[in-house]
Amino acid sequence: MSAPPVVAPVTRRIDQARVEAYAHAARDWNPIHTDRAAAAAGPFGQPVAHGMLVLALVSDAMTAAFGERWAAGGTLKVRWRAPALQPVDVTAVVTLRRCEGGVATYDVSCHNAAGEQLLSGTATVPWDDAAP
Amino acid sequence: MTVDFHSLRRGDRLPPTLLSVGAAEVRAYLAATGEPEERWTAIAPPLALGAWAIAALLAEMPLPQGAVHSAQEFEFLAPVPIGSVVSVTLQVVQQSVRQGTNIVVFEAELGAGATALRGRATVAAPLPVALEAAAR
Repeated sequence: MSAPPVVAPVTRRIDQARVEAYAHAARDWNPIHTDRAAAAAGPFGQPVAHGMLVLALVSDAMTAAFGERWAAGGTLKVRWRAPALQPVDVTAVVTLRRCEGGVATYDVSCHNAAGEQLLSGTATVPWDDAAP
Repeated sequence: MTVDFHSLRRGDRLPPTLLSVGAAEVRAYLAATGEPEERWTAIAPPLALGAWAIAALLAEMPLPQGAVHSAQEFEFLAPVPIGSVVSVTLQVVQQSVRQGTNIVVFEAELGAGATALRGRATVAAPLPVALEAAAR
């Protein structure tokens, strides 16, 4: 098997319409995401995008590179670093850290257009680097 | 009956739930996230399953004021065909209080028989007494 692929970045605008569509699709109606008045009293003072919606860009990038291998053996481990205050242009960046022991490990992060990191962590995918 | 976040302790289990992984639900998820629909016509996007496992948690346990989903882990162990019905189990695997904040780690397992997805969500929320103090 060849070296693990380079994973292309994914950029997407997250605005209130997308957040509300995600709230419906993910069944997560926490008012911190969808209710301006309730969010104003919350820890961020305004509505924030769902963390899982931001994380979806990472999964999008991994799926583009690995297809169903991602759904049947991938792992993710992330910590959210800052709120995604919509509207926001988010970019997911996935960088190969190492490939050993049959596993490709990537550093993952998402940042906004100002370069502020919104989440960071790691992703792994089974990858037999010793196979021909 | 819903569960109070601040009453949870390590080892507590929330009632298991069943989840239908339908094509319409998958399409709605992909439309919302912006991921191309044509990628996922036979199996469900794994992160959608993770999102729905979290939704199962939220259905049993509304988040308290000021709660933040601070960290997340997933293991995608097997593909889940669209049209499946899977069960979701939820358990508290860690609980601690630091500086007036209650930190709870939930473990979710989702699958039909064999586990297809395992996830760990860390949720932090200020204790009610800390919220009261902040409001003064």
